[in-house]
Amino acid sequence: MAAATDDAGDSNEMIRVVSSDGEHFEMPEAAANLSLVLRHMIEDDCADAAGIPLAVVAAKPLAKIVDYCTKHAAKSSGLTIEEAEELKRFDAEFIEVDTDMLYDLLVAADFMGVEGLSKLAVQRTADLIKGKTPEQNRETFGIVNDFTPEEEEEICKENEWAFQITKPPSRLC
Amino acid sequence: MDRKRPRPSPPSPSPPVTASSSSVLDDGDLLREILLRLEHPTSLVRAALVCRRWLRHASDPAFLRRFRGLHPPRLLGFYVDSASLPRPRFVPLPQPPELAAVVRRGCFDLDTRDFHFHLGTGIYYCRNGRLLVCHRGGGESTFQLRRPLHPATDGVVISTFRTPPRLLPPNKRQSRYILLPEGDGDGVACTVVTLVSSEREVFAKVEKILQAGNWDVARTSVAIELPAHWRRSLSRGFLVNGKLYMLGTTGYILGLELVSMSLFFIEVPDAVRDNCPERFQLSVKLAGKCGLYLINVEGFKIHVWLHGTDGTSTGNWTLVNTICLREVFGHLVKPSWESGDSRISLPGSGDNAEFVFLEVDGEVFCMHIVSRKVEKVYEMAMKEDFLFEIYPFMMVWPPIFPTLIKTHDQE
Repeated sequence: MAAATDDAGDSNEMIRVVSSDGEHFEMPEAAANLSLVLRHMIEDDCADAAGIPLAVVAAKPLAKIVDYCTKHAAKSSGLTIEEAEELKRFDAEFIEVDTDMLYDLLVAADFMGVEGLSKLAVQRTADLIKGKTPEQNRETFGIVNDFTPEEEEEICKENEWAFQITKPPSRLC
Repeated sequence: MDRKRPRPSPPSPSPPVTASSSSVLDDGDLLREILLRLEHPTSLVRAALVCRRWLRHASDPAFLRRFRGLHPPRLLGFYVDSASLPRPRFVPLPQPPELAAVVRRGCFDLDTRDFHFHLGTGIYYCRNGRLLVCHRGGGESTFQLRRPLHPATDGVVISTFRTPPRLLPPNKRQSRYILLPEGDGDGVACTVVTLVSSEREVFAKVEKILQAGNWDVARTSVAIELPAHWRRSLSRGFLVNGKLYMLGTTGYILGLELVSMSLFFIEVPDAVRDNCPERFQLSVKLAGKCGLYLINVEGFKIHVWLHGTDGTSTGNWTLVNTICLREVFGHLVKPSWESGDSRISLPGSGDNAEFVFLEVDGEVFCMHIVSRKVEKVYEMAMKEDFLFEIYPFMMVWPPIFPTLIKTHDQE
């Protein structure tokens, strides 16, 4: 039998963080350490009872990030194959979010320096772009087409092979 | 800049555009990281067509180098040329759906309907989505540029000329190489390199066929003395960094520097000097410092050699990889191989010595040198068929992005 997981690594201290809209969250120190920004704050003794303020991260994404870090910190080293699989499943479900939340996570993970989550959100965004026409992508991301028709035609002509969508255009959730 | 479409108003059925969405897209670093994860060049080109900002990131040379490093161009398939085939035939390899669609839409068949009195078709060059095909018949040779993935510009005839009866003195021999320009070529459609050798020496003649169809004035190199025991047939040539390398049959690679029109020899490693030509493949090193790979098969082993320095006659060979075929082939090994009746030959290879094709008893395998993965990719219909050559067909890279004249927005 495997021993029970030591949730908080060698320290059981809880770290408090405060979202931009004033909500308080708690996570084990090992989880907070997955964020480069929080780790530096902890090392500099800036983590106190009042909580570390995160000026650009709102409560909704912060709750997700706390979830992510807590899960990953609990399973950080010496993973069995099953545990690694489980973590992969967790990630896949975790990132099944609407686009608003995805953008929030992208920005927040980048700001907080949570590398694993950054990669996950970046890959998910790339997956949304893949297989779509330029027009579908403009619609998804609210971008205005600033090419002239001649420029568009030239890019298409030079790279004919790229314009062969097989999948029916799938709308973004 | 006039806008073609206004920004959709909030109640439109399209997904809502939020403040955070625009901040994601405003961050160039984040956008580049996202574009880098698109995996296939097809998705990258379509993303580049979203707007000028995305195009600017997608077309940045440093970005393209990173993209290529993460997602090296895939081998889409290969042309096989053998004695029993009327013309080289394309064999597609399994692809992820995105690229399978690219292959499905391509026109790979080397169609000869437009060529009368057709006797034969050969491939002279196959690289980065372009093939130079020569159709012979009726006393004429026609060079045609095939671009299977670019249907709109596929099949241009470069030049047709009468093939004169060879009036060479009995002791002279010719080998011909045809090279396509790497960039847009400044009006040059292709370069014809002819090596003329006699008993003791060899010289090169270089002619350019212009896009207008006419031939430019020929340039001729000074003749150089052939090494002892030189047998005069040369196999496939490779052009890299302005130098053409041709593998000779006995122990030497003949090099031609095109700008200075100078010929030179590179000796192959001592250990492989006596092997016969179908057991060799030359491959060029494109990543990092330029160089030359030599892949050879000896018994049940594949050796990969790298020629140091810049691929001139100075410099040495280093053995960089040895692969035991028994190990990597595993269950694919047949009893007849062990008995020593089978000969393994190398009919083709990829750039950077990434992969090599092996032929054993009418079956063709593709082996990735680094991962050592082996797949059977082709079987010749007739056992007594003779396989001439395999021409790998890679996914096109990089995409071609035109330079746009006006850009208003700044990063």
